[in-house]
Amino acid sequence: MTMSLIGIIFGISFFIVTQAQTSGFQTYFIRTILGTNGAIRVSDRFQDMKETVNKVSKDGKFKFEFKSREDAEYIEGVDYPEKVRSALSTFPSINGISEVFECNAVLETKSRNYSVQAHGIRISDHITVSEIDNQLRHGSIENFLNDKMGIFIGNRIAERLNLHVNDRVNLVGQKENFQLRVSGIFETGVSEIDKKRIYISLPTARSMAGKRFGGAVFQLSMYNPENARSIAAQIQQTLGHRTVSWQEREKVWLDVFKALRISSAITVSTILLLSGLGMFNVFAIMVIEKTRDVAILRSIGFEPKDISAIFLWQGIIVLIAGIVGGVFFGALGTYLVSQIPLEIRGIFTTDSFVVNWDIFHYISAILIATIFVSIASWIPARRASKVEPAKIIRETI
Amino acid sequence: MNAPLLQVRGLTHSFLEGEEKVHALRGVSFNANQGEITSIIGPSGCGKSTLMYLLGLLDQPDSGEIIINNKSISKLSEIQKTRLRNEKIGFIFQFHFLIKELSARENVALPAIKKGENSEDALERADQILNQLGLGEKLDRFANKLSGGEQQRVAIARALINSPSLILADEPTGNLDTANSEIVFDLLQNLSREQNLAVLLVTHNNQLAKRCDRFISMNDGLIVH
Repeated sequence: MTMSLIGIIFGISFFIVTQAQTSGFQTYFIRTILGTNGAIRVSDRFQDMKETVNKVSKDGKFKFEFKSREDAEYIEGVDYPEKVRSALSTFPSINGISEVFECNAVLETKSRNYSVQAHGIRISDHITVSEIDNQLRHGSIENFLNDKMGIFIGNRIAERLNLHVNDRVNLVGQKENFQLRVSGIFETGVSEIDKKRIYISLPTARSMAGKRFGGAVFQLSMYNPENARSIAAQIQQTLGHRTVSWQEREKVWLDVFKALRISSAITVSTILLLSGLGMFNVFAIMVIEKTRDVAILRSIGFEPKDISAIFLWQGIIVLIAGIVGGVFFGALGTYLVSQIPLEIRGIFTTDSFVVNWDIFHYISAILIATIFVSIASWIPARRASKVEPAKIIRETI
Repeated sequence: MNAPLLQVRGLTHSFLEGEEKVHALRGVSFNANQGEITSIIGPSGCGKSTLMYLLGLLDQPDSGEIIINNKSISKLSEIQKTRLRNEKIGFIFQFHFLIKELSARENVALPAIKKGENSEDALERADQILNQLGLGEKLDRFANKLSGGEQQRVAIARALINSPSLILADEPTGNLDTANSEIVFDLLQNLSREQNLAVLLVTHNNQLAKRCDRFISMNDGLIVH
């Protein structure tokens, strides 16, 4: 029984620790990508030229349906940003809208030239849809706000070009070149962004690309980013613009994290399953050993349900002890794991294990342990309650 | 003449032993009165113990009727039978059947606790009964640390704690020496008289059987005398 109890304690604590780790990395990744690219991105659209929109009736409700893309004109980005912004602002679940104009450019310094992806933004809008203010390692938002020729650059770009705040750089676009001053250096943690992206003001970006109107995208933030998928679908249906939620955009990584979590949950659940089996064996043997005592209790007036209750109570005591121990060691293990140094650069940046303290992990572990222990004690308990006292007493004598 | 507490009418019972059907009882009828000890004797395998299990409602007869306190128990549900066993019937076995992990007083208190009595009260009453039976010094001793005679007295105390009207004693002296057998028998005799109990005593000891108020002899599943 002691081994079963230890198994349950280990099972619960391992479950909690592994879930805290895998979901910790996942949560951290989601926070990083939401803080960088927002919850929803609204971009291009097809303008349908003929017979592509029909009014259809279904269950008494009318709606418009896009039937085909033939003869449709592709329009890059958002061509009427003010109208789209106005429409987007009617969605109550959206709490930030930022127009972003994206184009390629080359940063020229004294030492070398470097290709970058320029994002033209209005900083006052963009801080509502991103964590740019928290991602700044050097410089400030105010620098950028007060300087029309200000530029934010990723920390990897700054390292490669040996740039510092207030340094001057030359940005070469398709149509125009600008001399800009570094207002800040940011680090998102996503190396692909930190080594490629720069932020400049929206008018500067448009001028540089020679595109005074259209071509921009919208980055949106939401009160509850979990609902991004359905809201994106609604926006796409309403506005006709291609609208992608963060879940769709980062599907590959999210699937990897999901697979990791499920895999670790299954692996750790087997510990609980084995403990449950061990406990089942202990109880099954106990029922055989205690058959005589069960017969005695039945002969003095104990009902079958009383006999079941004796074994079930033992299971409950083991379960409670296992839960208390498992939760304690799970929390302790999670804390200790969070202190382990681990340098990760790439999809996000961290210098130690990232853990997620989530009550759901504890509830899940307790639930799984409860199911296994309940089955492990219920079957023998039921068998014990079926003991025929007269037969046992006769055989004993 | 005391009123019959227990009436047995045409009781039959059989069970399978391997592939063979054994007819343990072939129509047994008798009465047992309050305030009397009725002994049942007979050779091994004549159906004495089977009769006791049926009377103790631990087993189901094939046919016949058991009437306790003028109430037929044949139509009672299993739960009702279990309750009746707890409240009205006290069992004493040859091998005393105590739970060895429990002390003497805890063993005795068990039926009372099951009946719904508060644990403290039940243990207090268990102490009183054990004191009356001369085990006052050994209340907290574990059952397996008592001698055979002491264990049988604990079993008697357990059978008495719910103040039953019927005591079924299946060879209670079968495992005891002569001195302890005398003690246990005297105890049962006094209890039946003082507490007006009907005691049914299965024994192989003819001397003890003859000292009982009534005497039933069985052979091959039938009452022969």
